[in-house]
Amino acid sequence: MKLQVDTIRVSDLQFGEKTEYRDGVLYVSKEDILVFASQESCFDTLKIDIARPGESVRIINVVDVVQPRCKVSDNIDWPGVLTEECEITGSGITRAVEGVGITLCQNNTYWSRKWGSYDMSGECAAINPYAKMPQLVIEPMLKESSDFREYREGVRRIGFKTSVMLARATLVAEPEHQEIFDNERQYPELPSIAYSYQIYSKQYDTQNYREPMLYGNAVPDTFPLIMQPTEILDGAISPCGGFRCVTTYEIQNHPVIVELMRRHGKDLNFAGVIITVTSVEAKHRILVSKMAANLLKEVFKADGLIVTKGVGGASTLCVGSIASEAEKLGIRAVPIIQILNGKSNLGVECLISEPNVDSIVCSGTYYHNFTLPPVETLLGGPIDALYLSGDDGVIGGHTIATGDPAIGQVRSTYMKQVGLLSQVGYSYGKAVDY
Amino acid sequence: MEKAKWRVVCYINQLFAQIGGEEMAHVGFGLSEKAIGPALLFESLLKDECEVVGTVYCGDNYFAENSDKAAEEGLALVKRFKPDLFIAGPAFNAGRYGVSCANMVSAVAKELGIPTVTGMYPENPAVDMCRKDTYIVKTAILASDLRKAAPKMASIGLRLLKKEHIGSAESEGYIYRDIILNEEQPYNAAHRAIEMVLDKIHGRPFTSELLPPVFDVVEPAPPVADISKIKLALVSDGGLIPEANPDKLKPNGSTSWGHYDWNTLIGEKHFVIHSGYDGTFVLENPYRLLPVDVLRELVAEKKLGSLDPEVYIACGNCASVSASKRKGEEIAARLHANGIQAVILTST
Repeated sequence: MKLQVDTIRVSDLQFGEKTEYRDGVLYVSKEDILVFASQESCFDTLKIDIARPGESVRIINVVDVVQPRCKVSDNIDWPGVLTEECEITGSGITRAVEGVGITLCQNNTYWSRKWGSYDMSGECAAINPYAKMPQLVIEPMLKESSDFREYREGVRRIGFKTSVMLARATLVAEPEHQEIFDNERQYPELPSIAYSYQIYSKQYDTQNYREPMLYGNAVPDTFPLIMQPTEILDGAISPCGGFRCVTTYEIQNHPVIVELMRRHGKDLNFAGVIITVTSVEAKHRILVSKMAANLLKEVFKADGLIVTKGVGGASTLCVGSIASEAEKLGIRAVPIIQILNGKSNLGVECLISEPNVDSIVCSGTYYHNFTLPPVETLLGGPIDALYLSGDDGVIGGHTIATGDPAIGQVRSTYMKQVGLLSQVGYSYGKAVDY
Repeated sequence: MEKAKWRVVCYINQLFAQIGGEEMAHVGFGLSEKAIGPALLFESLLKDECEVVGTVYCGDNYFAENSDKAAEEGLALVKRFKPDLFIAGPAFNAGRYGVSCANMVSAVAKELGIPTVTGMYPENPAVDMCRKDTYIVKTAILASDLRKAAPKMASIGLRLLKKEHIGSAESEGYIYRDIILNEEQPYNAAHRAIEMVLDKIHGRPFTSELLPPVFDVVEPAPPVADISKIKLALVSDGGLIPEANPDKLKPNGSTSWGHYDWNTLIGEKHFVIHSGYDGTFVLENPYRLLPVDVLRELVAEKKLGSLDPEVYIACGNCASVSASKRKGEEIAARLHANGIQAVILTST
């Protein structure tokens, strides 16, 4: 499948009377976004702000960051999420807007066990791609009676509708850059690399709510699926709910898929993508990893494999198992994993224990801690919201809140900083012994 | 006005103090109000901003034979000099000298709260005694490495005094102190992975950023011959605890555990603190985590001897290997003391 992505870079984001693109500036009308909210039964209203690089702003309760994108060709935007009707994404033309992001917050902290935050200035902002562009921060205010499942899906719909609206506003201007993603023609003489993408783990669900991540469908215990790489770049997969160290923005610009596509036919052959989920039972894990390795060998004829995971330890065991099974079949495998500890050493903290997995990228420890100074403006929650640490949140139905006021000096882990640790390899960190 | 120089105290053994060789290893503590032996080198390396105000020394055997008392004795001498920085050794691969340096840096760091530095060969058995309490610069086996190691030790010591950043273990040449931090790289993880897989396919050298650990091999205990005679206990890492959380378990990275009477635990307010799984099913029915109900039936049917009324609870999420090992030892000791002969371990 062939996907053309037309990119335009905007110089600024500002509120305006109407949503439009003029002289390099993207103007957004709050009224236009409030129209989306009026269609959602679980919101009273939306709080909409713009946060700019360098400002003393902290955004809390972040569940997602989205890039403005829309289909230019005759296709559905976000099939299965914005529509009941479904079509396979990943072909035709898509408009992508660079230089601006949409940050989605859920204003009830206790509805998620995993949430994110980030600052627009300071130590973390210096290494955070999202803090380097103006962000439209949308915080839907829930009604008392709202159900958290509806709320989460409503937040996502509003974010995606806004994404489409902003991208469409830029269609008045010609794109600055066009890129074609296409791996249809295969180059068997080049080293053939496949990608195994673990998109979900049910272990972090709240009250058994299965995140509808694949065309708006839940995927709790699926077996390996073959998907087109362009499908993934074009809206087939999106998180919904608690922050799991990967954003829609990172999936839209999926760094493994984009780089394999760009190098396809040059120094490698991009064989294809399989999708997996975290197994919570050993029996399932064994079958998933053997099936994945078998598909990689028999269908993709892969020589090499990149494997990425979702948040957590069980997810690491699963990607380790896939990498190990692939290596047994002669496929060179590199998983990208993280360290789940801060007070230890790398010699004992690799959760993959199969000795034949000896080529690993480590994109950091979750528990590198920061002390962040007070901020002037807090977005994403009430002014008196607490900055929940890894020890807080709704855990097992029990609210634990020992955090400091979020507007004051806070301590944060690396994993809580949206943009600093990306499960799909978008981030630049690496864990090092001190 | 010229800033006062920082006061440095060095610790060395009798050999480096030129008291004598192995035959003099029995001598006790002594001190000099100036730099002697390797301390002369530190004095010259640090001369712009520091002054070596004293050197404390001791015979290796004296220290090894009286290690608790010796550390106390040495500490008292160090204290007299009111130091800002303490440098011990380097001990290279000398075992007893390593032990005395390790004891001295740990005692000084703990009691005086000042920065300390030492140097050792990575396989010196004393490394594990103090690597978390100090900076141990890696040295070669023999003392001929002094001129290479001392500048690294001096540089770390000076920057600790100035409260400046000390880089990673590899970049600075010290032995890791059980702190893992992240460093931003020129390329993102996706690019690094693609480069690594291509290097591996082409047979080019590459450096894995992490490797599977080599774990201790634990011999399984022999099976229980007849469970109708034994006292059984249930141990779980599932984090089901009383609401008051008396043992201060944490949702992740927990270093503590607790033991709770089952009837009280589920009869009163309780919750799942483990943040690595959705506790909904356990809260719906706690027997899913700990099958006390079924085991009690077996006891009633006289198929099982007895069941410990207490359950033993840890929280396994993101736990470090060392903390888990200690928790395991503590739980095992308690099980032993309670006369438990077998356990069922349930996980999540």
